[in-house]
Amino acid sequence: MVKCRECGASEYEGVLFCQECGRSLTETVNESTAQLPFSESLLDSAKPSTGQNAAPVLEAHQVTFVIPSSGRRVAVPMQKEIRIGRADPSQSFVPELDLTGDSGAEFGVSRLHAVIQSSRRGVALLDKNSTNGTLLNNYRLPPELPYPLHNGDEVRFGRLLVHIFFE
Amino acid sequence: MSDQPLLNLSLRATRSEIGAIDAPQIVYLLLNIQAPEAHQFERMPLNLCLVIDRSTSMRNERMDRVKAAAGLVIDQLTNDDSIALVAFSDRAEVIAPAGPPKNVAALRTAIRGITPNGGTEIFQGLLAGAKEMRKLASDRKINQMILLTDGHTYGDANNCLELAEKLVKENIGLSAFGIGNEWNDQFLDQLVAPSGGQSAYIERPGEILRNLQSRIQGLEAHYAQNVSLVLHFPAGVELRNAFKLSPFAQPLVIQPTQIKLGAVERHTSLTALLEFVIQPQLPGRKVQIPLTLKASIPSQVLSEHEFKLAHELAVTLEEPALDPPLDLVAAVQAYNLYNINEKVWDDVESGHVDSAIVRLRRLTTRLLESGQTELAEQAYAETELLSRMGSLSLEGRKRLKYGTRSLMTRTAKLGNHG
Repeated sequence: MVKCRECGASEYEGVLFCQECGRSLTETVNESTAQLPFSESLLDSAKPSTGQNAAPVLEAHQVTFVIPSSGRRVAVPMQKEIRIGRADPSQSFVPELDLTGDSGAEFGVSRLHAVIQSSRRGVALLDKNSTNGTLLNNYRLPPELPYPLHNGDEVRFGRLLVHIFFE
Repeated sequence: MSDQPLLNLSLRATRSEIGAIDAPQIVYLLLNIQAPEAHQFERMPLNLCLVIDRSTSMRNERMDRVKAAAGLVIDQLTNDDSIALVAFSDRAEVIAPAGPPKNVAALRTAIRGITPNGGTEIFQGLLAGAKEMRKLASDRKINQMILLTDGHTYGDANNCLELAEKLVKENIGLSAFGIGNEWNDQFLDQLVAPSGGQSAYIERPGEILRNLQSRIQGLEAHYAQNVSLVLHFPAGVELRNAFKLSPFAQPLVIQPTQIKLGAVERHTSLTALLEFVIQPQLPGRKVQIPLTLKASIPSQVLSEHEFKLAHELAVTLEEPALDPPLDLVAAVQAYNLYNINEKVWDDVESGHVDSAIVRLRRLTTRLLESGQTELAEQAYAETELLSRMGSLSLEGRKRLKYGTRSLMTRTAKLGNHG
């Protein structure tokens, strides 16, 4: 049995949320879902990725970023975390997707702007508390909260539009 | 027939491993059923009956809006369809007998003539509606009776439920819309359960049209009908709860041998959350959760066609991995909030006000954490009311029930943007 740390109720193993008080019984689950799953504004404004595979991406071996303003197409092998931002030579920091050459600074891209995380639960995008925010299909992501990605999603890092495709 | 599957089925689970422990364990499955895109879609003719409550409480705006909505429903139909109109209070009257909507002007005149008066005896309305529906019902049609009511039915609830059971055997489905706050939500849920239909809350008269149109559009889009999940599991595997998330949120009733899931609409998945209890298992074993679905697909001339899929659990001596997909976690969380709210009302009805207050406070917190500010405010207001008066508002009950219910449909959109 699992004991709820908030109300002390006992639940069977595998129960995700305490049936008495609603608290998450799985810390890792709780961390990624405190606000994410059905935040009203998030769901209302997240648009379907029309014409693309509508299911969330669960696994991929490569992610391709298409940046219409510069015409650049960047393929990055899928890894646990893909950092997106602008290189900072003074700190020897080079993100996997470096948007410096795409006028990243002018478009308001932070040095470490966002990350794409891959786990057994799927592929998710997190804004890293960037100065100008991240919009996923026109919804402004709350910082540090993962949001599932879909093939063909439209993301704005600051004002820089990037399309994301998975293979 | 093409090589495409007749239905696209998928199953996702909170876990694929369970521990070899001496206690039951829980596994949640998210069942998704979609119509394949490539199949030719044939709109089935509709055989509808609107059963309209015309009790005194429906007077003024409610009745005006129902009449307007009924008029627009008629406009949506083709001459291959058929419609009947029944109005009821403590007795029923056939306003328009079942037939194709050829004479729209006559139907509109009939609708205009409905005058609110009398009490609410839903059975009278359903019985008259069933009689009309049976005249033109067929397996090649979508046969659906739609009840619009704003009140409690008195003394005839069991008759209504028996009739709903009978109708499903005749391939006649039932949907029910409750207008305002006075109607019995549990009764309407039970009424639609045998056919896997929809029961919904219409808070304001202005929402009647949207709800009714959306239901008609859903019926027009039926691809597979009478979809049911056969309850036949190996020893030690038990389905404890089931809830439909999409195309609309609806509790699913676990009958002795099956669960009626309803219909699969074109372009919209039928998604259901299933909660399984797995009894203690020996290490190294593989436990199967087999799902057998039955569905009729009129465009493919298939009746009660079987579809099978399964989820396998490995029993391990080590700590089992628990890394569920986000949309499934979200669905379970929303389902959990809905259940907490249901327990509040159970507590109140059984006189356990203190327990209800504690639950409502917790619910408020969880709703706030989830970004559901409006629902959290409602829960907070009800907590205050309960603390001061020892009772809750009917409006609050409906808003919280259907508000938490709708969260589940929203989570289905996370995994299915279709």
